[in-house]
Amino acid sequence: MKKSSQKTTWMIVFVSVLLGFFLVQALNKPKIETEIEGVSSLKNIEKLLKEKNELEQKRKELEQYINRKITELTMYEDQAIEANIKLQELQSEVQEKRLLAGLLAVEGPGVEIILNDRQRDSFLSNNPSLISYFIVHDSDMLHIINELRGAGAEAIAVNGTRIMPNSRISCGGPTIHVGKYERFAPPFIIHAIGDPDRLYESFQEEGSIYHDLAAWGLEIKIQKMDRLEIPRYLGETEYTYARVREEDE
Amino acid sequence: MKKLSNSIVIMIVSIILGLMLAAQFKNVQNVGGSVSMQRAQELTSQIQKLNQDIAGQQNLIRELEKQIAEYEDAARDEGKISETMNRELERSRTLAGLTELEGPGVIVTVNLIPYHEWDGYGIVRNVYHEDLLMLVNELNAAGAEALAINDERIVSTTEIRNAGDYIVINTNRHSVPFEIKAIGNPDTLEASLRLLGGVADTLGEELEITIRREEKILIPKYNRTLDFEYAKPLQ
Repeated sequence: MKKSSQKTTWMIVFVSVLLGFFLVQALNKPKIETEIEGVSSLKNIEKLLKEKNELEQKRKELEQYINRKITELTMYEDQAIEANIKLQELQSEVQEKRLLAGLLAVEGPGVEIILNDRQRDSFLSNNPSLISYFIVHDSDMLHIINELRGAGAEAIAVNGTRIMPNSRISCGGPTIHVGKYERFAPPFIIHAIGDPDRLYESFQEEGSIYHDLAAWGLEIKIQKMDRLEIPRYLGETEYTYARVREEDE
Repeated sequence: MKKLSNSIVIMIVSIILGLMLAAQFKNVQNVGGSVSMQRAQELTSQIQKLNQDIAGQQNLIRELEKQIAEYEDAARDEGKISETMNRELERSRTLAGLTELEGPGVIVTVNLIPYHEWDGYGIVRNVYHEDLLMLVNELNAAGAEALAINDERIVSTTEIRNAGDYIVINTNRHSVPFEIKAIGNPDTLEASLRLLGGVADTLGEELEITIRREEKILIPKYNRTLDFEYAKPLQ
């Protein structure tokens, strides 16, 4: 009995200790949690959740903004490529028209014509009053250029000056004006690019100025050329009076 | 007696157990607090991540906006380039005779002078291509910027040649009356033609030449295709 009651007592002590331990634990813990951390963390979580939602919203908005910007950028890239292609097309068109306008130096086959006054000889010395028939006139040059054009000349130069549609060829005493500013004295070297045979043969035709000039004893030599170089027009390109019609632009 | 005391012990232990269970249950409920802690930590890290994302997005936006600005600048430059090139294109087309032009100048007409002989009817002489060449050259010398004969624009390849009773201009046949339109300074153009002993005087003896000043003359563009086969740009 003594032994048994002692055992029971120990048991009660042991359980009591445990009870005390758990009671304290059980009563203490909720107190701390609810009063300090519990309340603050609840508020905190609300705050954090709110912040998180706001940030998520912001991220979403930025994402949309980025997508818009990417679309815009892609558009710019496409435009840039297109503009580049257009600029290239524009450039080749400009070059093509410059070629036709005489604003580019050109090369090609053609003819070279050397034209000179009649060489001094006994006939010329004995007939000084006829001298005007034996020198190169502006009209001779006009005819030659006109005949070259008729035979399909694409570019013409006189003594290295490109002939334009409105180049003047006028008599100024012993020299000839070609173009706006240049004055030349004989011999005249005329270069024309085109079909060499056609250009050459046009001067063989009846009615060509060639026969007239040759008959008067003027020096006129025509030679086919495999390759000629003709410079670009170097004068005024801006018109003062003529304006492009609106419909044409 | 011993049985009773044992029962009391078991009862007490049971109560203790119940208390323990209750306490433990409360504890479990309170673990919510530590779960909240975890959640709070998770939220904090999510927020951190969000902030990082946003910072990255803002960097990307800066980069994108910079690129867009560069493209805008380039587009403005391209605009300038193409504007300049378009002006050059029009200048070239104009010089080549491929645009219709308007401006002040003179209109020169060349016609035949008829005469009566016996009962017959005749002309002093026909108009030859030389006459037109001389007039064109004279107008050019007086600074004509653009010329057309019977609306055939004079371009760098224009020939003026006799072909029987016709004169061929730009490979089209034309006959009297010839109307030469020239855009340029009307005073200079007229004066150079009317020069004493000038072209109008010389030709005026055998042909009817009239010179009319106009404030607005229209000169058509070259109506055929201008194309070079032999002349190539010098490389």
